[in-house]
Amino acid sequence: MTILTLLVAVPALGALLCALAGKTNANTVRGVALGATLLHVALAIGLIGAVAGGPLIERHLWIPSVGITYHLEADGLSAILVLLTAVIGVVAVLISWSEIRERVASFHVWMLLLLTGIVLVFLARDIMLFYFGWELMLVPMFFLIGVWGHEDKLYSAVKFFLFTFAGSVFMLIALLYVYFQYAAQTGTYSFALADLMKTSLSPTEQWWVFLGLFVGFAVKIPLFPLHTWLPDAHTQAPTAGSLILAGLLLKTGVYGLMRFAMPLTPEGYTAFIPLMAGLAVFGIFYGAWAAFAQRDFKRLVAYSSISHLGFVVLGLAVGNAAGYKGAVLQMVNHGLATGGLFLIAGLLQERTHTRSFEMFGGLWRQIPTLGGFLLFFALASLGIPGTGNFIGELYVIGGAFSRAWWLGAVTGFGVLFAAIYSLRVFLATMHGPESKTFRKLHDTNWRENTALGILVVLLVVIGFYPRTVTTPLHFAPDQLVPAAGRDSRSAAAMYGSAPKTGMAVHTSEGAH
Amino acid sequence: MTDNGVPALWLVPALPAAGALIIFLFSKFWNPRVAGRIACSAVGLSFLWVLVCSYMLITWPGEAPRFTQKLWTWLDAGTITADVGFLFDQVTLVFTLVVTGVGFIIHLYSVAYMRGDDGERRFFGYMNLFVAAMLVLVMADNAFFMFLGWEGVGCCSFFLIGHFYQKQENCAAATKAFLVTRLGDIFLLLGVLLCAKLAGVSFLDLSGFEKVAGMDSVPQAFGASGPLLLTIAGLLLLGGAMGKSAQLPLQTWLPDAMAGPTPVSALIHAATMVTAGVYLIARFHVLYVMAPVALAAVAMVGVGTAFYAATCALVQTDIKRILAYSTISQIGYMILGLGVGAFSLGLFHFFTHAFYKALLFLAAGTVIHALHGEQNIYKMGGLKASLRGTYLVFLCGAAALAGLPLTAGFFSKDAILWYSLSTKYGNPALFALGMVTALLTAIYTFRLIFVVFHGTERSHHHVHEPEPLLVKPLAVLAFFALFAGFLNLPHFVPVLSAKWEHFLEPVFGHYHAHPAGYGGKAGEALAALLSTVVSLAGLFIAWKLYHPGAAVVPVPAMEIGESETSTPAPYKASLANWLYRGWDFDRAYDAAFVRPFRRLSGMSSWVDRVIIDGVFELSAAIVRGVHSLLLAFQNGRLSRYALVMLFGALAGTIILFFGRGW
Repeated sequence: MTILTLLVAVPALGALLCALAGKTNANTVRGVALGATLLHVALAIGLIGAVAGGPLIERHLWIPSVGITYHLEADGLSAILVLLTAVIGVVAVLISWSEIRERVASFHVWMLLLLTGIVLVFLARDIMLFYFGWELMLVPMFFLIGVWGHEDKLYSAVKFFLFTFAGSVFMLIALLYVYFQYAAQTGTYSFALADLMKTSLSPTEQWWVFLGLFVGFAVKIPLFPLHTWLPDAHTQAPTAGSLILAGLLLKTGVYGLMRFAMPLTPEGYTAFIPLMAGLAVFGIFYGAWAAFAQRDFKRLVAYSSISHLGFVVLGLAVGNAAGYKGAVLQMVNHGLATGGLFLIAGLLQERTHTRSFEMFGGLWRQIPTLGGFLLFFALASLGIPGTGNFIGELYVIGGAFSRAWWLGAVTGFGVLFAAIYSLRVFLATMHGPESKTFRKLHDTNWRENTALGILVVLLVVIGFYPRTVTTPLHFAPDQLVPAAGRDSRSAAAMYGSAPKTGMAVHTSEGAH
Repeated sequence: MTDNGVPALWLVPALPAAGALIIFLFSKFWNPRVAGRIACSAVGLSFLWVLVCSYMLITWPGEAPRFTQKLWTWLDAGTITADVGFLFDQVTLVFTLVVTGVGFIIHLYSVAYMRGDDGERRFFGYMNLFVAAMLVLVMADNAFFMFLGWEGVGCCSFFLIGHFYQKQENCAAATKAFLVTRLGDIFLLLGVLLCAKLAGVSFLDLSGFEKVAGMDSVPQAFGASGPLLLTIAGLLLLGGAMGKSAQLPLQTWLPDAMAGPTPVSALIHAATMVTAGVYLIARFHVLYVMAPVALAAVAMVGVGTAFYAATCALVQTDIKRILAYSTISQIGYMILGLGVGAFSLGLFHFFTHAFYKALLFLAAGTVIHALHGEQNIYKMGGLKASLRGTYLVFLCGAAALAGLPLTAGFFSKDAILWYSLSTKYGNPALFALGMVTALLTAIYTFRLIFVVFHGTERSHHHVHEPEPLLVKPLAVLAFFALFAGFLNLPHFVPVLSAKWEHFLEPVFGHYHAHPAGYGGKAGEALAALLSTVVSLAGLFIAWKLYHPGAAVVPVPAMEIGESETSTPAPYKASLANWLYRGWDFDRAYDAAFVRPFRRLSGMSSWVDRVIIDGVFELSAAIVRGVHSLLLAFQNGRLSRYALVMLFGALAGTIILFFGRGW
């Protein structure tokens, strides 16, 4: 058993322990969950160190007759996302401490199972194992929203379930098609990603397969126009649910594109670049515009997610080193900054029992620390330099600029609209005449400060040293980005040496 | 700490940054007074360290000494490559001295000014953070790191304009400032990306551009579209400068930004941040010399803004708004200087302006403080006697602003005007408009003096004597406002002439334009004489119009003008009203951008809720309907099944057919 299996097993065992501890008092359950997530973070940090020397692989036969293997593998990309998962897990436990008061044990069981599914998605290299993880994320999230959510929880939970489930059907069909083609061509059945990548598919086949995968993943990201489940799910979910949804679940869609769709069908990806880029850029503006008009704190943040994820997808669509790095950075930054905004929304709701901007205003005097955190996350969300978000957006805009100057120029103006809705979040809650409705709200306690502080520190660290995220990516295997960007090569010529970064290393043989 | 004997440059911004961090994390456990002390010490120490660095640079052996220091690699993605690194040359020296020196005096003043304010700790935290960001802006060795400081100062400006956050209009002013400057920031970022693409790297020593400039022709380096790309890059950077330095047409935020506490107006919105655009263009001088069209645009924007803001300043009634418009106008002069290739003189005007404008703002703050927050000049009057010290220092600042002979403002402005006529980029139109503006400047400046300090007291408040800390530090600024001009006397003076230009020569070198024609030194002397006459004429006109016995002040029709009300319109004449409203830029922007955006935003939200979600809701409803329908079909009859199959095949064909095309 390697560290990879441990990473999957720790949250699952945590869930088991929580279930067993359910009979005792609630704080024991919370303590168990916190312990499990902290251990998870330690393991994930170890994983980052371990992948520095090359990918880690763990492989066992599982059901040989149909070619299913238990195949876990971690490269830099997987390791970073697993670490993000672990960190968000700790924050989620901390922030649920006082919010969740009913059925505490089952809440933590579902949450830890959800984390298990996410880790499995990020580590699996066997398509069946991946699909298992993918569906494993669905059920716990359904219950987190449906049981512990707010006023419209059941509608939102069902909507979330139907959308993502329908998407995953398209994904499964596309994957099975590749599987059967591979079997037809080689005579052996295998669900291993590395094998399936050897399948030769005609451009038309690639187009259809990519379409299927794209629909499945685009629902999760979510890309316009498949995003309408997101505002409802985010708004109704409990704080930890919103945090995990924004921080992690949306990232699994992007990860799916990077890990499966783009390497399996490179020509399909190339054909879809205009559509991807178009939907991404449109989403950047559309999400930002719609966000500004919202009256509900969480709904506004949900729409801002659509805008931010547009940057991520655009980074993939421009197909060069800058865009690719920017996309990964933006995945992490969005998880931290938007996660932070959801935490603030949850803390405010806990204190005031509302999320409506019309009820807020002038709260800064009463809750200065909470206001300070909100200010920070709002600024991070609008991409202020010094936070990681700036670098992610800069890379994506720069990547788009290298690809086509007008694409970069148009995208650049998306940042302006991000400023408009982000400032609104802060101004509408904290500024203005002192609220008469709410008096003597209590400011954050040490537990809440810790949860928020973790996110702040990470965002600032990435903002000043983005290579904490991008350096491990150098070890990503070559299949990750099929269309090597032209600009990285010209940059190499410009500096007179091959850059050690980005696409250049992808030409080296991955350890398979 | 040092490598090759270069002083630790990073310490300069790190000191105020540390001050800010300490204030934010710990000051809530202490007496609020402590925050002010920490903030002052941090900036003071930073100033001392700048002095050390400056001394070392000046005494450094070699032709063109320049310190650089790299801390770590920050960005590495294709052409976006940047270090966290610092550059210290003569231009940096000028800016860091002003930022920390004037910044220190303003911090001292703030200790008295902000005493007892609710948000004292917050205020000093942001002030220190601002100084740190401003130092990063002027010390960064590459354009991306500079951008960090650039947006950082914008952020602090936002915080501090909205300092009194419980008033809705202060928040609106803060938001407006942030968004308008951010629009400029986007232009700047795109410009920097383009420069990085053109010149390979974004180092601010401009080695990339220098290499290109050394070639025979620009197209050789960048291909046929080279000159066009360079011009576009220059215009994009100018867009950034317009936002930050409140130049036409992005100037509208600065008058509103006066909602912040007065020390903020002095530090951020007069002495330092708003001159970032001047720094930017001066830094990229190589690019602009290669793109003469962009350089001409710089000159036109500069002189146009200088004239525009001077006309607006003529009719304002709020003391801080008058000063705000005068700042816009004076920065216009600096930009004009840069636009005619006189880079060092643009910086010289920045240097003198930082002193006299900070002085004017701080003195105005003392007046406002003494009158319990009154800002309407028509409710002041006759303060000469009760605020004697303030009156004297204010007079020094006003003399420099109006360009009275031998003051700092006279020499720096006059040099720009002369160059705007006589260099190869200059022309008589720029010179003439600049002279007209100089006349207007003298008029509005002395209008301010006469209405506020002369005549009878109109204030109903008891004027209390300001405490020493609100007056004493101003003496230092007053000294520089009067005498800083002697650092760069005109060429026709036998001693000390053009010292400043020589000092900055290592940076600008042969890119700096020089006067040609128009009679050389004799012409220069004549221009100086004309400046003298113009400023004295302005003083005379102001006396005629606004002296204590004049009919213009205060007429009954002007009785409105509470600075709090949203419809101040104090004038009957429509021209005056139009000037008062800043040529109606706000109204136009509101109609062209703000309201359409609100509609667009509301529409997006509506479309999302009703149309896009509606499609899915509808399909859900159809599925429910089909479900009940299917129950009817599954009745075991073969004919019914055949019918369903037929429709199914038809639907499938249609989907495939159209699906392909789509």
